[in-house]
Amino acid sequence: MPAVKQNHEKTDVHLEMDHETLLQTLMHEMQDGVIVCAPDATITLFNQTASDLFGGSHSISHGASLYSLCLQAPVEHALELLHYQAQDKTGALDKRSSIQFMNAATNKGKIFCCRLSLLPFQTENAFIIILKDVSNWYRPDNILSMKTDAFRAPLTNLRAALENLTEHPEMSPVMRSAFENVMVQESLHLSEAFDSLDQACKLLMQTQNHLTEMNSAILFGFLAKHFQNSTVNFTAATNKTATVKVGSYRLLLVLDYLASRIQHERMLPELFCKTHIGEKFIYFDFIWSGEFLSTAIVEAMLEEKLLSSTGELTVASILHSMGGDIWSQQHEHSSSTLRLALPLAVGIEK
Amino acid sequence: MAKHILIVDDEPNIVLSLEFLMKKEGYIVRSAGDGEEAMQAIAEKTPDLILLDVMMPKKDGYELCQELRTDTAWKEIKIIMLTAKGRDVEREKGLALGADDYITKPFATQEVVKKVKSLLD
Repeated sequence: MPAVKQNHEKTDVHLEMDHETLLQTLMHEMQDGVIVCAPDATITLFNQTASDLFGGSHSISHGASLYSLCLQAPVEHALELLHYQAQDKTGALDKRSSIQFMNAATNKGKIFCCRLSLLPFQTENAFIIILKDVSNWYRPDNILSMKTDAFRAPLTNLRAALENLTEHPEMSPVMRSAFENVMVQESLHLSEAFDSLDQACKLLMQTQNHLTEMNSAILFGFLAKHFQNSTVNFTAATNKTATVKVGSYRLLLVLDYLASRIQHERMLPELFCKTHIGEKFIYFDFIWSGEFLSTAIVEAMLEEKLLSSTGELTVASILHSMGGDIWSQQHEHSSSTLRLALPLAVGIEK
Repeated sequence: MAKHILIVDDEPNIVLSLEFLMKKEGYIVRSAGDGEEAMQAIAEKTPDLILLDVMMPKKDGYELCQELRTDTAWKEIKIIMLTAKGRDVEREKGLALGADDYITKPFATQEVVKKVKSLLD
């Protein structure tokens, strides 16, 4: 029996060593940077790619803080959101265990697409962060959508001219010549738009989506918690839920900015924010008593660069990346809203 | 009595086509190249319907639409927005700000004629 036991022990040690070697090999071979951190964000494990991403072993080491390498706020936001999700007890909510977001190196040299998960079976949550270097292709604006929009006008003009020529052959020679001229011009515009789209497609082939699909109840609950002790009175829609695809950290930055800007513009000590879910969109309505915001103010809000965002993005580019937009409207009883609309990822769930 | 249509677009090539088409349908047609020019044209003679481009210099289509809807004298004007912005949220925005209909470019000219007729008849 002791011999057998010894053999078992040997085998266990062997297995343990194999697992460790296997894990090291796996980590080494991964093309993305992998960093494991203790709850206080000190680094406990990292692979070779992570070391390379941050400029070698002199930059990254065991016991150093993750926040000496990349921006703290997006990581802390993801951790907070994951803890909120983990504590949710309604049972019907999103069980997704990772959050995707963009982050930047503290030396501002690189942009990363990150995926962060809490490590299971830990009393205090250590976490693992996977980083992909996207600096070479990353563009905050939704280029593809902008490029396809560039086709719309010339295509319309070309089509209208052609339809007029074929459907009204009796037109005067002067009109005919004018429409033929339109066709020549717009064909050239279409060629230019195509070249531009072709380039954008090549760039976007390398793109991976950095948004996270999220249940609206989780998102609203998290936002309610965020605004709890602020001057924004946040009310979440509770009658139904839906899935949205968002960059939650960036959305939070936009909502914070919009709220403070409205309060500043209209000198409001308090502001109401109500959410509701429509057929195709979820809406965040900031509501106040008084005049709505002019187009010029809304445009200025859209152009605002949010310094805390990765890459100092504008409100417009953040919203555009999520398929959203804002506008201000006057309502009855002299109340006004600034509405932020975001498209639903899939239909309403209940 | 013939109805009045105002075409507001900064692209002369589409104005040429729309003007031709609307005249063929028997409407009285005027055009404006930007939002400010459009406001002057509307003040001179209130049109029954506006074919309104969204992206224009000086004053864009959303702003013009919102301005018209806040003035009781112009509330009844029918507005069809024509836009090269293809996202769903922009249609939502256009209708929320007071447009009666919204057509995304590229469109068939007969689609515009049909929508104009349905709003004016």
